[in-house]
Amino acid sequence: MSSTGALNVAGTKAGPLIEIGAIFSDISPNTGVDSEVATPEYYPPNLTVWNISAQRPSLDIGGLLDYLCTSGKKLIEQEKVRFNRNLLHAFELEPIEDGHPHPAERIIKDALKTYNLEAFDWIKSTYLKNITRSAIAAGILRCLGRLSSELTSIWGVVMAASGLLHPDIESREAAVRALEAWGGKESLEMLKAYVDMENVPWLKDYIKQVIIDLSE
Amino acid sequence: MPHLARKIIRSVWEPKPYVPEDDARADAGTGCLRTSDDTLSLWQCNATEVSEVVLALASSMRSVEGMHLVLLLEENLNADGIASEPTPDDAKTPIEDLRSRHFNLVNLTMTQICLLAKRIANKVRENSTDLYWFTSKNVLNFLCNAVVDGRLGLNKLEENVRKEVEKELKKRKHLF
Repeated sequence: MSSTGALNVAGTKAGPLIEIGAIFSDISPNTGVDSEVATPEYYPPNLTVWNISAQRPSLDIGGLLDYLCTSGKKLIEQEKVRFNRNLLHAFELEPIEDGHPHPAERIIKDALKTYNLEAFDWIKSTYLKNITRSAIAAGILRCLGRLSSELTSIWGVVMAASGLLHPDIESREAAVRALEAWGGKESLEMLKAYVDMENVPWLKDYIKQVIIDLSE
Repeated sequence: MPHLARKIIRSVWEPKPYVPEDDARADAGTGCLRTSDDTLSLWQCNATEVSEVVLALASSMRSVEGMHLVLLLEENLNADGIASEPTPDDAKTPIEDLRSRHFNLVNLTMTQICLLAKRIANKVRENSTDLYWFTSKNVLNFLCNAVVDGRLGLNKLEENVRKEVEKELKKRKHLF
């Protein structure tokens, strides 16, 4: 998805939940885990079926794979729940402060390093579920902005784009800060495309200055 | 006229529809006016010295980031019954000549914090000239200038900040 395309969606601020969700639909990794779909029943595998006459076991490979797949999904689902709980707790515990680390950064960074695109799905899910809670939605964007652009990849920029469309100024400022921190061509183009849509004068001025800074 | 500057996150102070006039969001108060031992850290300056406050704050940061400052008149704070005292020993900045600018609001009560919050919220509503913002590039430039002027040793900075300052200084050398 091009940055311009994302921002065209952004132009209409009515119904931000649907629009922000739509932005993600194009880039969601196919993780095979969907929290909205009921998890298949967890069952122990039929690991071996003994062939008495030959005295050697034959593995029920299909059953074993099913078992591994199901328990793997279950473990990942548990990790997702844990991630979500820890992240919300971190934001409730202390606010973000400019220039100082926040515990949520570590939680997000560790998840991304361990689970890669799967973790992006978790971050996106927590962000969307808390989109009306500005401290959390903005907090997630601020923390992402503090991670390297290599780690957050293009989906980080897409999340920031969704933040720019947010009706709440906290999330918009957080998105601007994230793009400012990452820099680069994508961030610059995103801010250039957005700046005239911003209706709060000081934030508009801030974005203009960031555009100058990033253009140098 | 001496002012006291406080770092804030301005967007949190923007009023929401449910916040009455002359009041402030709770998140703004609990987020930007967090006290410790009933004290609050501020920096003394006049309107032409705001960059010195940015430098004082940035030199103890863990990463280079933009910031917002609000300037409050000391006499207005005193009128609200808020006492301030110079506390250079509490200053976290490694820049010696900035330490004397550090002040604490002391013996604060919840009522006084609310009065302070209302003052800041009103400045945000009025888009007062007492509000300043600095991008991360502005902040980085202040740090680099302080290093070049010999006011700040690179080794006194946190690792991430030092790396960014070094990178910027190399870029400057390349340019001249």
